[in-house]
Amino acid sequence: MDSHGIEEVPKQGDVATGTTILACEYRDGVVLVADSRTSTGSYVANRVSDKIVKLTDNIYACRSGSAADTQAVCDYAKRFLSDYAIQKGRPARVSTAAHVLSSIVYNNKDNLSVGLIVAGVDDVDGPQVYSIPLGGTLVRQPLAVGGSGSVFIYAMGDADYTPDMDKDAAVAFGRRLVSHAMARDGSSGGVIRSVVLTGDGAERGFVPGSELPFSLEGMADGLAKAVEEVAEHRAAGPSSSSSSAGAAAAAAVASRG
Amino acid sequence: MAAGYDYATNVISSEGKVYQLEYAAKAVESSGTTVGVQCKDGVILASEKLMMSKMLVDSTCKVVHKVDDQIGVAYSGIGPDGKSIVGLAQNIAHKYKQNYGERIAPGVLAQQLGDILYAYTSYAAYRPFGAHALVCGYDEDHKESQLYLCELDGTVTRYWGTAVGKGARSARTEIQKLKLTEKTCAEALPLLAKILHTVHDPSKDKPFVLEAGWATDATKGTFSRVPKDVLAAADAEGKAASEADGAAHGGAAAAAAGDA
Amino acid sequence: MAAAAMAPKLSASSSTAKELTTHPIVTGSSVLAVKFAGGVMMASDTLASYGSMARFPDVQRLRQVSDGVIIGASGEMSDFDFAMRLLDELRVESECAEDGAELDAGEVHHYLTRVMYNRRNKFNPLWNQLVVAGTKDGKPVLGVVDQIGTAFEADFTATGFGKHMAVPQMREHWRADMTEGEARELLEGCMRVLFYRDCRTINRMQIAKVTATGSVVSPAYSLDTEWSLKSFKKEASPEDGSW
Repeated sequence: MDSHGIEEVPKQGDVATGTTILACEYRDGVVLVADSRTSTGSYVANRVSDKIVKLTDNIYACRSGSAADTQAVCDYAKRFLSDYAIQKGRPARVSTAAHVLSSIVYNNKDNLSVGLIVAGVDDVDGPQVYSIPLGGTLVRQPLAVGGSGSVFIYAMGDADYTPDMDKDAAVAFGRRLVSHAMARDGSSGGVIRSVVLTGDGAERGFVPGSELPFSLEGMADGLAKAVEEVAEHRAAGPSSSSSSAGAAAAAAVASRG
Repeated sequence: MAAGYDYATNVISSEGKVYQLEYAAKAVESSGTTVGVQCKDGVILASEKLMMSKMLVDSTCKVVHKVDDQIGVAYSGIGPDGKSIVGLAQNIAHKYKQNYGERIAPGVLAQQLGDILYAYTSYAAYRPFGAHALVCGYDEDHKESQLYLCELDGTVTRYWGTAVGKGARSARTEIQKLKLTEKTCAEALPLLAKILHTVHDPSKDKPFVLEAGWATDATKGTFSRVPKDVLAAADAEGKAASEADGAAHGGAAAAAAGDA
Repeated sequence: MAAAAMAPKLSASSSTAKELTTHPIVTGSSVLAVKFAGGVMMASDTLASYGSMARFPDVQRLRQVSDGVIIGASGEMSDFDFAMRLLDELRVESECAEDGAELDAGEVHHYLTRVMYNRRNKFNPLWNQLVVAGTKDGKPVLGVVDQIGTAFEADFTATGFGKHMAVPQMREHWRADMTEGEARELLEGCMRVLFYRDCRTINRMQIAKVTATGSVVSPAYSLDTEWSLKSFKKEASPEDGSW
């Protein structure tokens, strides 16, 4: 059970993508961002996994929950959507893909541990993001976060998200949130993968684990330094200039991404 | 000749024919005419429903059916076979909506229906359907209403306008002359009624009831039965026009209609 | 959270028994409804919770089934969506019959009682409390059915937390001859109390109305709330026994 009284990990010994995933609409498309940690219990089974999966050229999904279940569900969806494209003579729309996935999850809810975020662009409804949490409920959202790490970044999303960002801002926003979740969630970590969809193909992005926008170690270093300098400042007495201590504190804040 | 080649659908004759399918088509050729046309603002199905007895209630044994919000199917041929085809079409539409969460396009439905009709021609345990079906409906991708013909052998084709049943041949010629793609459904309906009255021969055929349904811009792509008063007016107008033509040209069928 | 999720789980799933009974995951809280002179009015907020997390703040829990029928749902939202799909299939089937017949609220309510009871008998319930509002033969209908198939009609009703907090107010203030305005005032009063006292509620609600002439579901709106009573502003002091 997580803090909300809802089980994310159903069976002991499962390989689960204890995860941080996110997708959001921005001005010209959608961006999907994910960490890369896959764990069995507290062992990192794969530190560079890819949780962003391609469903069609213009629709991708972020996976969370059981690795096996999410792979199987997405494979089924992929096949249904390719059948659909052949039959209709055009690729599926995002809402169709989301419906297909949610019905698979809903109809098998007792046996699946699957949380998905579907995002994409189509010529009728434009950029869209759909959240499909555990039971298969389907909800469209401008910003969706998921996985065990999401609880740490809901508030950041609430505070900072706007749909009118440009591509670079949206990718930076997504990576910033995911890096914060990776810092605090033991089940998230590794590298940050991202996918940007604008309607004509996908652009993948990658941030190595050594270059994350935010890390606890970076924050701890900066904070320690700043605390030290503030202490020195206090010791120097109330009349001394505060400029150097202020700069250290500002640097510490800046290191938080 | 057939000479034993006509007992099963899994045998092709030396002339390259599957006789059972040709016999099944005979059932269509001896039943009421059904026409379908794509107009400027929608698509219409209209049927000459032959009434086997004077005691039959007009609304009984419908041949034009609604299958989903935006789709209609009409048939000509053996009644129960046609009804069964309508049931299949409803099933296809229902399943599609369950799978994809959206309405089926008429073209997709027609293809899938054709697949089933075809399957019934190629298994020894089945017999082919004794009815052709006209499928019409609104295609949300192309923002237009479309008409498809699903023949009992599994052939699926899209038409601007076509006809099946007893009077199909001359009805098709008439439809071709009318250039209905340039007319509205409301304008086309009396013309279709006229065609059905013209191909109907009261001296040989049982009396008929006109049935029609349409998916028009006015109904927002929703398939619905043509309202009773509109249909009655179109029926009367069509009948009068057919009789007037008959009087002018002395056409055999129309003259007979005048006598009746 | 993550760490807690790592803890070994010792429950039915590790036994050989097949687990069928689901538990709700994405849930809606109270739905309130009252009859008034000439119709029925219903209210709910637009929140779908995920456990204790206010996860989806913009979900419609009052939905129009037809011109004359509205359904409100508490409980699992995916099951509510499923029930609504069943009703849509029923609608298509009925329209294809082309007999001009349309299901009224009484029939929709009864249909749902069969679905809910059936599913609970399969030990796989639809985890909802559904409220059906509409008219039958010109008279207002207000029906309720829950995940174990309990079903009844009432003059006023509330599901979820509202069962505890709104029903007493309704008992006190409800009259059969209430005007539409009075009904709305009563529902908003109850919603306000629920916002104050139900942890699974947000102050963003919708109201729906069914009368003989049809039905409407309002856009979402917020209620005025009161936080400036003198005793609220006063600094908490342990002597007063304050929390």
